[in-house]
Amino acid sequence: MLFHSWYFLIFFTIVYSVYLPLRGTRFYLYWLLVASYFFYGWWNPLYLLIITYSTTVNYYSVALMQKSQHRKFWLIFSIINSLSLLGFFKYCIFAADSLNTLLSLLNLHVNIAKPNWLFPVGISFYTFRAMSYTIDYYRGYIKKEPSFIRFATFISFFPQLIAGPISRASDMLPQLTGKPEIRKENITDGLSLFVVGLFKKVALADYLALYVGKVYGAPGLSDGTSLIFATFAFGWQIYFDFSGYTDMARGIARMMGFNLRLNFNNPYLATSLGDFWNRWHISLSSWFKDYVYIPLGGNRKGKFNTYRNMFITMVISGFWHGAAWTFIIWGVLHALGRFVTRELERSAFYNDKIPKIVKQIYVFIFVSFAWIFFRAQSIGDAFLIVKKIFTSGFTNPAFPMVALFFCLIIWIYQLLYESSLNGLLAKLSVFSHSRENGDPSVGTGLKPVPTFLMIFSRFNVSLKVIVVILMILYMVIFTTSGNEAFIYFQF
Amino acid sequence: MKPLFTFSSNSVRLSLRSWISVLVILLLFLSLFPVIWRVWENFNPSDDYRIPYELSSDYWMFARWSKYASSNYPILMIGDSVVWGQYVTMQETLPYYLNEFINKGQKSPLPPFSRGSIKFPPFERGIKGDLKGNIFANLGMDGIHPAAMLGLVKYYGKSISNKGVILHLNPLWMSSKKHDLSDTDEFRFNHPRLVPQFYPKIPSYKAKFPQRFGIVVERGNPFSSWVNHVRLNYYENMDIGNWTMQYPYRNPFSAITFQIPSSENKPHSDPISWMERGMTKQDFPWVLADESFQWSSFKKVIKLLQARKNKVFVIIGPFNPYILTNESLNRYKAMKKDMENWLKDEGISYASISDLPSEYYADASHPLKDGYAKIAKELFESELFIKWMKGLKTG
Repeated sequence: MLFHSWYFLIFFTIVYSVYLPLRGTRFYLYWLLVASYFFYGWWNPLYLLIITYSTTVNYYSVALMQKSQHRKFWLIFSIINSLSLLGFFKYCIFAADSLNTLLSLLNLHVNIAKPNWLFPVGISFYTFRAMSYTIDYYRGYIKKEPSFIRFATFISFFPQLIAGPISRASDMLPQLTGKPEIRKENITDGLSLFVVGLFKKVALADYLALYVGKVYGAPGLSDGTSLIFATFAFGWQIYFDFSGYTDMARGIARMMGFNLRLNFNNPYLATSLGDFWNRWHISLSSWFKDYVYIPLGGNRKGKFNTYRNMFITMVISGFWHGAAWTFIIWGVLHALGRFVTRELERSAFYNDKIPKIVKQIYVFIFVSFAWIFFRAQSIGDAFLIVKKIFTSGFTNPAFPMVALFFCLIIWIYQLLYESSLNGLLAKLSVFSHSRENGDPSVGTGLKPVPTFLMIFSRFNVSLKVIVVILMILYMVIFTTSGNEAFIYFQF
Repeated sequence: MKPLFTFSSNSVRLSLRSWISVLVILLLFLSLFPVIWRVWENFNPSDDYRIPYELSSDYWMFARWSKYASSNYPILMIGDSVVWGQYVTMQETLPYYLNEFINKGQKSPLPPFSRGSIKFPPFERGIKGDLKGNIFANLGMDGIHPAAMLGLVKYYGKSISNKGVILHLNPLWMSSKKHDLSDTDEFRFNHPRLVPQFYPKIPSYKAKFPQRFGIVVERGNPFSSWVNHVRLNYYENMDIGNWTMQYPYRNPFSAITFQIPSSENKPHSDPISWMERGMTKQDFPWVLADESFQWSSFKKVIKLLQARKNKVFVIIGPFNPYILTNESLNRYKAMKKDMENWLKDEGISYASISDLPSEYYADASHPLKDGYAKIAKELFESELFIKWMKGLKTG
């Protein structure tokens, strides 16, 4: 059930209208759990067995940890269980494929049969959510959750179930305790996030996918220029797709009175690779940082160990994204990128002398280059694309001007948003929100707000209203929802 | 402790008042824009106008044309490509020949067999037609089977009221359970957006719920059919994404010319007979009239039009008897008889078109131009038809 489908609209209308009156009672958790399981079971009812199993094992591992002297044993047990589940469903085919290739390289003509079982969507996300609970409890960061229903609701909470954000038990469980508060800001913020997310997905990501799919679908037939455009386009496609999903998920949760983590923060404005990972899929990056990088030693044990830990973390991150060598190479590329640039990025020369825009462009180009391995259908395709990009001459890429316009306008908007204008915009935003109550300075003893700023503030509000209307109209008139699945569902 | 909410990395965050403004402006836009569009977009139907073939699924266009025709013509002819004229030019269709009879009578430039043999004098004036004096309008649309016709008239032909309506029934739609849509195997038929989506259930229609639900929403919203019109008329039936992939360097707004393409005055398919086409005898199984979904839909169309105070005349056929095996022909005749009986019982005027010469058929159900002329003549020789037309004048 995709967020941008009629199914979801009907589902959410029913869930929400029952949820609102139930919110003040203890039954709302049951209702959320039923709704979330229904949402997940809609893909395939068998998925429910897997999520129930994962939830139960993690919950009772912590319960046993609490009672037992062998806390570490139960921690290891639950981690092995979670990783086995992930390995079994996600990596078996990859393992069989890789073994077959290895055996054929060794001239051993044995063919290991590839398993043919279903891949439960979202398993990587809820497994990581469950693991964070177990590990955080072991570390003493959180208390044991007394209610299994609440824990199961946290694991399966439908807005974030399929593709995150990967919220932590310490964030979500307290929110599931007591009556969720829903004020008018929850509704308006939720709607704002949902509409922007929908636009990113339907109008931008699915649009760019048309070009990317055509070029990357047959890289042998595409020329270098088209491949360059398709590579940059994919960078924007995956950003719009995934951040669009996250916006929608956060919007839905917000309407229900829950706050999910920010998952993207204008990643293509990053000025270094480290900065990029602080802005891209933030909930996953911080998960790896907290549960892999830091336990490995982080940057505490000298340069060599720091780089080793970074390398391991990035490779695991690549492998988490998909069971294919292309994803591993993508992770390795990012690790190597960090190696090469880390010292440079810490230097005074880089920080003071190089213009910000140059840094942003270099990061964008590097990240886009790495996306080649993420998007290509095989390693052979990826290397062919790289070769063609660097050896072909310029040809007409036939890249739609409209798509270019959208990408540029959004990039410029983000640039402005993060520039010094941001302060002004924030001020205008405060004014526009308080405009309903008149001049915000009245009765505060502060100077009155200058008239020109009040006029700007009104202009800003009108501009936002116009932007939202244009986005909705564009979606209604010019797009066809082919109900394309989100890219990150496959992970 | 609830974590602090970070809104997003963009600032498109609206207050309640702003959202209300968005809602109001959108509602106004959605309801008014299709109306304003009619003023901007040129629509000057030529003589003997028929909806351009490429707009055969443009229901907004049908609504517009039917509204125009309802204001300018007393008699509207509704049907599929037989009425539209698949194998003929605009000046060789059935509505055209009917108009010729009215306007020119015996001076009509009709084929020799009909010229000079007309018994019916030029129609007693009293019903106003267009400037040329035409009173029959061609509302034919390709592929409109009875179940689709019901949706077309119900949702997009609301302006058809207090008119004379000639409804054409093409028996081909009942030639098998598949075409009748009563087979349980999936069948991709024409105009799925016009058929009932939930009730009555169509066994061969297997669309998924979101698609059906989307169609129901679209029908209740003129804006959706306008969007479809814009895509069909200006973007080659593509969304903007696919259109710009086709024309990467063109400005999408430049495609909007506010000009509806005029109907091409040429046959859509080669105007040759079914034998020249190499068609052979067919053993259509036919369905029983009582069990036919299409026939039951057709009956509903009649009732709907009558409820809108229209006077309905039904034309059954023509159908090529030479293409049928003997057994198939007998089954067809039995089915047709049952239909005629129902029309008779209901007091609905009708004409069952007699067999044309074999070479007048282009395929199983479409006549060539001489066939249309002969049908027009037959109608004007039919007492029921004359009576019905006179009834229009006095009614």
